[in-house]
Amino acid sequence: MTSMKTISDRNLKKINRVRKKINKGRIINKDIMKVFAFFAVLFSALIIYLCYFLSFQSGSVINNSYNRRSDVLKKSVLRGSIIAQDGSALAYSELDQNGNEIRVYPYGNVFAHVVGFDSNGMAGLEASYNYYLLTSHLGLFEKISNEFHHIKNTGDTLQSTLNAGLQNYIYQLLGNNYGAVICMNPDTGEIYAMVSKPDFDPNDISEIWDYLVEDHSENEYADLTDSVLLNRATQGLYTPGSTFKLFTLYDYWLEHPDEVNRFSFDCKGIMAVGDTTISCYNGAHGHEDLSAAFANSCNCAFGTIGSHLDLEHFRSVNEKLLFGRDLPVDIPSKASVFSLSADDSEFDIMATAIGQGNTQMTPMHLAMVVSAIANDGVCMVPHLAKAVLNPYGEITKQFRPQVYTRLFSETEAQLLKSYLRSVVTDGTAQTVYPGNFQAYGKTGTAQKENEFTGDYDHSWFVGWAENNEQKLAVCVIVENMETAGMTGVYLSKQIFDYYFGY
Amino acid sequence: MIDIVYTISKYLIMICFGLFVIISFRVQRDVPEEMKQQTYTVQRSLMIAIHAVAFFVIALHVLNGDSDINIWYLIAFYIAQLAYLLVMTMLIPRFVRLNQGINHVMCMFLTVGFIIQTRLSFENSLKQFVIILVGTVLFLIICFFCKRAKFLRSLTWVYCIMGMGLLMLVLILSTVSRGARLSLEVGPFSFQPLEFVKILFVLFVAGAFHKSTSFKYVVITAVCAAIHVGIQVLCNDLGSAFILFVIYLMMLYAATRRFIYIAIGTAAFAAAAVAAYHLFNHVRIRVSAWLDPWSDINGKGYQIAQSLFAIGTGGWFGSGLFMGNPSSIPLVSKDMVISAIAEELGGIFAIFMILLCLCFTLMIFRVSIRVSMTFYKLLAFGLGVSYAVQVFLTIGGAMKFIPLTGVTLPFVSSGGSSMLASLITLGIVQALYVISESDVAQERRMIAAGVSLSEFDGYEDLKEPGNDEYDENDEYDDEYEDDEDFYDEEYDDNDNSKREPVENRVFFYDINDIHENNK
Repeated sequence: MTSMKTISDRNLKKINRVRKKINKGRIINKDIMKVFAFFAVLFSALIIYLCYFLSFQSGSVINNSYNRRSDVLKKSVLRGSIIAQDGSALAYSELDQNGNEIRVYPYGNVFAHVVGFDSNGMAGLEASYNYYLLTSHLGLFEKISNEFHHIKNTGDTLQSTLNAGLQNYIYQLLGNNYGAVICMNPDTGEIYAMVSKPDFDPNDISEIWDYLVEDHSENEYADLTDSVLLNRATQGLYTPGSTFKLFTLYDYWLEHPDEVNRFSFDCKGIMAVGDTTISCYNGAHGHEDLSAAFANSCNCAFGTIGSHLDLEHFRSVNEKLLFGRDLPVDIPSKASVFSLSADDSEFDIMATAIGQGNTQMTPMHLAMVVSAIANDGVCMVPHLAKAVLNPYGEITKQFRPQVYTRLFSETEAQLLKSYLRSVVTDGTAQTVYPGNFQAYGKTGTAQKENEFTGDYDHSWFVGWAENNEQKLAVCVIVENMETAGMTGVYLSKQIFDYYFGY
Repeated sequence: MIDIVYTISKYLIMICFGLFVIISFRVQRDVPEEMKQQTYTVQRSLMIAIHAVAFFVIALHVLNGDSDINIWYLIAFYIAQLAYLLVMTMLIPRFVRLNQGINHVMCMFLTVGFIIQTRLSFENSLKQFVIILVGTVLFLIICFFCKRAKFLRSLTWVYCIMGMGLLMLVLILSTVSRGARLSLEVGPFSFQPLEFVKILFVLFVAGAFHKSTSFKYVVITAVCAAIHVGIQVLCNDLGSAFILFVIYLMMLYAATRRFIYIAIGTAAFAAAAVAAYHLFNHVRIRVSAWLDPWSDINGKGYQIAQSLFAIGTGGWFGSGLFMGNPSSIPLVSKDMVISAIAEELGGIFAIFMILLCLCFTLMIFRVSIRVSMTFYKLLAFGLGVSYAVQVFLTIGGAMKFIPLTGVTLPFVSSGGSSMLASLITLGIVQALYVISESDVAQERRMIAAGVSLSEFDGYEDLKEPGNDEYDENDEYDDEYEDDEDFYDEEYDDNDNSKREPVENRVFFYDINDIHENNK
């Protein structure tokens, strides 16, 4: 047993003095502790940052195609569902009697391209939002309990912006025709429908995969003639035809603002350019001003305009209007191509100006440009994802409308609107005129001679309709118009009628 | 069934590690070493448990046929590691009075290293273990003999010249890897002198400031430090350059107690950083990869992006050993080891890991507080700063908190030079602890022997008129005060009436010491 003895306060002080005598050094321990406090702050910052990262950032960070860890997550998470805006399921996972996870697509072919599929390399929304679907926001204790019971956690649900009714309607409407349709809200960039044909049934993707990826093509245009897996709405590169006159018109207006009002052209229906000719679709338009030339889609007038354009300026304007750029849409897309150089012949230049040159555009691109005009010049980011919901149905992440860029000034947008309106009121798109909405748009027919597939005639319509409450932008392309009367304008009219009610 | 074992093991490891960290902090309380023995036993048990559970999972994985490791090699390796841990924590302390707290935390880091390295690559882990054994021999030699080698204190300029010489060698002879000149090839071995230069540098600065902290000396040492840092910048090893810079700045502050130096140093650093950004392309690459790794994810942003994928996919609880995909991160066993830990053992485990590193820093600083002589104080302090900065750089870099600098996590990362240097560093710290023990013992012996304080040489010098009363603002009194602060923090929530009077507690172990010393 140790004997106890008290040291008086006084002695304690003396001991301290001895200590300080021994410790004659200049280092003061308080300063050491200050430095420690500094490191404590740094390390705390690390911990706080890590917590912040794990709570708020990791969800969007890991949702990246370069992350090769989806197999890791698949072990513990039952892939979440994808639902339409109204909540109807577009894709969900369930377990078969052997406990294997199977993916079900209740609408079959209707959403094939846009929703995509989960196996065979993944596509569409399934690919883009893979990690959200493989992340579970179940409660902590539920997760731990599931882990011990060896039950997979239910993954989060992706709510898309798609309108199941509209998509289904368009899908049926398009019938057996090849082509693509995009419907979006110009003010928010929300995509309501995206149909691409030919299509496939994602429920059977594993069985039909080998057939689909087989090389059916002997020619370079196989790209657009058959490939079923291609989402034509975002990845199909089409000759824009007369819809491109919108770009020609815009550049002409920028280059020669004073000539626009004085413009006058006498259309004879055909015009010689060197050895070749440019002709108008439906005969001579006679005397017309710029608005009429646009409304009539007069090739002769726009060919002439094209030959007056400064090619460098034309190119830079088109680049500003998203040619050659990757589109910000949240599923894979292709960049449109604008090719024109000073070496090109006059005919090439004129053909390009009326959309028949080597220019190629995706329907998505055209829809974005027209939506920007409808939205007073501001282009919104087109998106298919609305929100991520946890298994209890609460929103864990919302994808809000985002401004992509301003493509046109407000005055420019107003001007282009009036031209697009004249197409509907007096021009080639009068079919869409009647209805309880106000429509704007531009038609187009892409003609191309093709030695392999024969001549083709793709029918375009791009535009939008609005009433007091809603706006709907539409971009339609129908390849070859196999069914008589199945033109872009006709389809758009049907879509507007369906959407705005008869 | 096997999945449940994996799951249970994951949570078990996390809980044990968490407890270990909490205990490590609690052990910092100022209670006599004898009373801490029980705590150390608990710590040791937790460590052995974590090690056993993790290797059980690895063995299951091997038995499942998912790996080409020979199960018998694995068991032999496990036993060797276990033996090492037991020798280090139970046998060695019988011969040297090491600081058991530091020793246990070091062994815990080594254990985490064993687990994650064996999971990443068995062969690599085996090599690493051999290096640890060699390093441990060095560690013990330093612990045993440092006290007797007093001449080491006076070799200030030798350290400086050796340090610079090594750096010059690196600059001239080294091979370029990953855009930086780091390693010297000596026969089959690749050797990274920069790891050792850090220790030499701390020795040099401690020696210099021990002699004098006059302005002239500050300038001379600053020039030498600048040369060190400059050569490292030329070697493109910005991480190590930054570590040396911070070491110098902090030691300068501790030695002179002038905040102005830190201000000047920080300003100089800011200027140098801006200059480096504009002068060196690789600095710009690092910074842009830090600001936005996503735009060039296949190129310069690849490593950091993969690291974030690992941490993010692992989440709070981790995927469990062998359930993640850490090998997709470049250099995962070295600079990025914390990402592998976070991915497979969990974000919570990583947070505990950061806390344990902080605790380790505190432990080294407390050695600096205990030891009396300026040289030793500065030495321990400098090594502590070196450790803390390195940890901050590597963990912060892997999490994209700061730009990547390419330094290792001491004791956990694989890499021979890094491990050897870490063990030498800890050898010095432990040696300083042994010295501090004898300082304290000597002081107590003196008091207990009843040396009249007034007879004590120099006492009169200290006794200034009017200074009879205890002056709280007296800077020289605060070593003792600090110790009291610790008491107060730890005991604040306890019932005050149960507290022993301070005097008794102080005396309690004084008497023990006296008994021991009188034997």
